[in-house]
Amino acid sequence: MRTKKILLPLVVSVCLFFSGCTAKQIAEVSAKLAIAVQGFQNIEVTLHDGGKISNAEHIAIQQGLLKFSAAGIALDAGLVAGDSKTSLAGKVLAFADSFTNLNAATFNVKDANSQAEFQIAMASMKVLVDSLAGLVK
Amino acid sequence: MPIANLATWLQLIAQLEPEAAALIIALLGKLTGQTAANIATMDADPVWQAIAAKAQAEIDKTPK
Repeated sequence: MRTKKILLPLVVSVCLFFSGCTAKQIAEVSAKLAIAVQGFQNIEVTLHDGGKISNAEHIAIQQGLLKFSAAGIALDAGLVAGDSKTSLAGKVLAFADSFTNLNAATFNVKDANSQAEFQIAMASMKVLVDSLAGLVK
Repeated sequence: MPIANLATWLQLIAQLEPEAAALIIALLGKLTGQTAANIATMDADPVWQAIAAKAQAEIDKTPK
């Protein structure tokens, strides 16, 4: 009985410790990704204003960013609400899908230099998106 | 949480009945887990909001 008394709280503590860590790690990756995406957005706007990106390309990329940021907001809301790992996994999946859309929009940019810059930015963002997916597996 | 404090908490909790101990730990874990996520999220959420606002403004002002 005494052993049960000690073991039960310990097992519960360890489980909660790990679930808390996952939420914190997801939140930290989301924060890093948000900063990277904001940097990308600023560069894209500068390139558009400088005439390197057409209006149609600019709108497509900003629409991609709008969806991506909405997925980020939903993920953060899930973290604050203490969503289950399964629910967070669904939000991370939506996040990854919106990243794929954004990536596709950057591939359509005709200016070679701009597209090369975008692909570097997308590659760094993909590392973070993949890392989020890994956390909810 | 410092280890000494954690050990003290575990010793105190070990004195309780298992059901009461589990309930207290669940509540503490929920609070501390959410606090940790909230702290990190507080940094991210305004940035996501700013990206969304800027994206919408750019879409609205760009000639179609």
